Amino acid sequence: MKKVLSGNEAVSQAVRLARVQVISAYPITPQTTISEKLSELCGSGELDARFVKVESEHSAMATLVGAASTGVRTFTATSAQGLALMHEILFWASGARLPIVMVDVNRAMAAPWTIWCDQTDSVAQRDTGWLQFYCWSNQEILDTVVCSFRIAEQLLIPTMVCFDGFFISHTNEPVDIPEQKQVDRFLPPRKAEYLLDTKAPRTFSGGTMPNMFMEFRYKLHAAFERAQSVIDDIYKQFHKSFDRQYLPVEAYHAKDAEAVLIVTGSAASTALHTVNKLREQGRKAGILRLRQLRPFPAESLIDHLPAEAVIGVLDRNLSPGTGGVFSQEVRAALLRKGVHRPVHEFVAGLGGRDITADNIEKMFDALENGRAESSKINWVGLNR
Amino acid sequence: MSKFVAFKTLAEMPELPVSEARMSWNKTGSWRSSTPAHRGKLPPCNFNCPAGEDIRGYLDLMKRGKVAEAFNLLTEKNPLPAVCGRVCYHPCQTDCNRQSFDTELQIRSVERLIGDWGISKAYRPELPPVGPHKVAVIGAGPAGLAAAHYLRQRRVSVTLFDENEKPGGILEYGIPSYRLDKDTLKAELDRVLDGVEFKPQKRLGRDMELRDLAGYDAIFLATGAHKSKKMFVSGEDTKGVESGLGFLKRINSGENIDLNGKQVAVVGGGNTACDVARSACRLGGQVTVLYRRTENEMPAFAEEIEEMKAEPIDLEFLVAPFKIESTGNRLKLSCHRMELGEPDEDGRRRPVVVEGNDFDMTVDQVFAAIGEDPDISFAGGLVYNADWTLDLSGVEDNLRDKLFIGGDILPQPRTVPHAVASGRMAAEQIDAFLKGVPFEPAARVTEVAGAEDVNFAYFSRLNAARRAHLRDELKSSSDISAAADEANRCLSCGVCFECDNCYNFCPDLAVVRTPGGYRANLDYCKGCGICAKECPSGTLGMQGGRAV
Repeated sequence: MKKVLSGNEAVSQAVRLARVQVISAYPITPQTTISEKLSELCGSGELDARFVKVESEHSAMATLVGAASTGVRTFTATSAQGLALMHEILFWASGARLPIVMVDVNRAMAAPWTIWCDQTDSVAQRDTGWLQFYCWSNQEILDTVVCSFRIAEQLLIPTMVCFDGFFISHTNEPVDIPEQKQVDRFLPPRKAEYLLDTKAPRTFSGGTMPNMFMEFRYKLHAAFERAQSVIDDIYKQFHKSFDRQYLPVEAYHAKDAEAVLIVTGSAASTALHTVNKLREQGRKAGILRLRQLRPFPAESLIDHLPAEAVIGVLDRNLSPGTGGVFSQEVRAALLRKGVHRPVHEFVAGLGGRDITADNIEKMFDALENGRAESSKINWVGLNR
Repeated sequence: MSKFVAFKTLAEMPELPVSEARMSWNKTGSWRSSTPAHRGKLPPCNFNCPAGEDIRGYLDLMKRGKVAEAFNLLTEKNPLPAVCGRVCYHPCQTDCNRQSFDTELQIRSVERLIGDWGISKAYRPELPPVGPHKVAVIGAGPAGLAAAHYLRQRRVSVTLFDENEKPGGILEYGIPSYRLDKDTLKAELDRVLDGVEFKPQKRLGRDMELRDLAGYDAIFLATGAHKSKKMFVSGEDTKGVESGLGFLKRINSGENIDLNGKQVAVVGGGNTACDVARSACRLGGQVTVLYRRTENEMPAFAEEIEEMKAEPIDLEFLVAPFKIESTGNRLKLSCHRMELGEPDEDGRRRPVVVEGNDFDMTVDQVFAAIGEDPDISFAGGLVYNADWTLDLSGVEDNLRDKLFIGGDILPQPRTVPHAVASGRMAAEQIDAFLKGVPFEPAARVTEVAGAEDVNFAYFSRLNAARRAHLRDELKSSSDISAAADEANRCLSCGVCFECDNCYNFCPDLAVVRTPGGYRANLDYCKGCGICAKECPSGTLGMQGGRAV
């Protein structure tokens, strides 16, 4: 059934369809309407889940760590400072291999105080051992949240689904909401091999000596290494069941492109619009939309990279002193595969600033005429 | 670390950091530096109840819908719930920890509803057969009733003597029927005296002597305090001057008294004065209460004063009559104006005459209600010492050994629940005496759970509208479910009510359910204190050290 939903509403519907059993969340803009809707669904009985009210995001995540340990399916949503407050428990969730699914509605990190969008909040959690997906449409959000439960539960890695605050969270689009039966067939109840059970008590994540700690980290990393094939497989099944296809890297006019821009999130749709315009002018512009930060889809990216194109990366985030995180990741991926090509990073749209079609056209201009720097940040839309 | 698992290969290791088997060998209790323990505090209601009722206990049973069990628990200590639910001055409510939260529990109303439930169901616990012992109880007031009842419960054959036609003493002949209706009283006393032989119109010293009771194995004397104190005012014996207690007894005996259009003066500020004034008012009298101090010093219970003030009764404070003269049909009452001086031995400020301010009142009737003294002159051989202790040296030896005394004869507060407690404890003591075993009264807990012990986060406040009407609603309710609703507000101060919080919150599963409560499994209790912190009633506390 198609309905016009905001990005946040799409999340709530996905959580309902996934038959999540424990939700714990603390309100924070622009995420709040997700947990509000979920509490309504729990209250009305449409979702048979325990909604645990907490006093902070730290407690929200800690609650899910406890709940997920008992073998149930769990969910939370947050943004910016809320995500940062969870930081410590994010490691706990991944180290304990708990398949928690969380939505992060991307919002810039204060200070100065802001509620507007950029991706610095989630990219800053890159090293906590979570899978990270980035969405550009409300339909993709619903589908990704549903798939995330299967991915997380199969890999025993917690999963974060990210999308841009306000640009997506509060913008309405038609969304096809699948039938419950259809989702049930695709996403069976969670089966936990190890679970907290007082009848067969075990100690979880207890004191671990140096003789074993490293091995557990190795196993977690190994799970990340096989993650891409599991993800691909699950999305393939999703495609079969729901007739909607998602790939780790989605290409648009990339094959013959002379300048390719790697993008994530809502900026991808502006970039798509811009590419259409440039193509009409006969310019060979293309885009690659990354859907994942972890696992980083290196192979897929290289497969799609046109051999001769100038490469640009649009980062709506900043690691001060270094640059955009996606640019760093792209560089690292290329080098690891022995591909020595310059990567031009564009930083734009921080703290909710619009990334306009003009901005993106300027990026293509710079890539085409060789004026883009490859050794430092190319700031776009900055008032100098 | 006594069980160390070494994995040879990575594949042997579990995917996540989880123990391969139980970890119960690891006695984490050895890390403990403090230990959960029952604080052993008493709820303030229980602590303050003169009758010794387990109020918290029967409120808990009411919460669980166990009315019969609640009735049984209540009447284990007080056989008169319908009576006390109406006339008790409810000290149980005074320190209720709900006070600081919303409003105190209306315990007296709950007690009344439980008592009335017993009456409406004609509830009667099964009587055990009588054993070999016989006891005489003299005086069928609250103390005598309680003693007779509990002795009979303990298989003793009891004969209850009273000078009046009906049992009840002050309940029947003192307390006005608008406070305690006769039907309720009769119904309750029928149950209380189940299996007890009642002998009416037997007055000690008139119809029988102590020595006539020598055939009984024990004698309990509880004839009360009903000798009205003298005002020591000239003309006190003038016609038209009567003791308040005598007046109440005449009303309660069914005499037709008409005070229509009469000016009535009631002298005194105690509970009897309130009853007399309100009764006279109901009989048509224009009533003025004369009290020599101010309202603050009135010995009557606050609630009785409030109720009296709600009626068309004049209160004259700082007034003391000193002379009464007959003026044909009427009485001239000469009074001093008083003022408050230094505090006397009981801490109340002493009234002092203001010279030159005397005045006269003309009235038709004067009731003196300035207090009552016990009288045992009729008993033969018993004498009061100056400090109101008893000198039994004049009692024959064979009687003295088995003579027990209680109720208002003793120097204790003159309230129904105090008398009931006295009677009940006499029954326990006499029972021990009959069995030839030493009497050991239960040790009394002296620590009371205060508001600081309660975790109010677990309770919800009454809204302001309910709060305003709660007392009146419950007072007028006749629905036992109202008692259950009210009992639901009980905080169970200091006493476990098996909420499972400690059990649920313990991060180490070290709280074990036991019949009627919980115990800490000290092998694994790390002493984190969460159980105590999350104990709503403040039952649990933490004690320093590894052991309790």
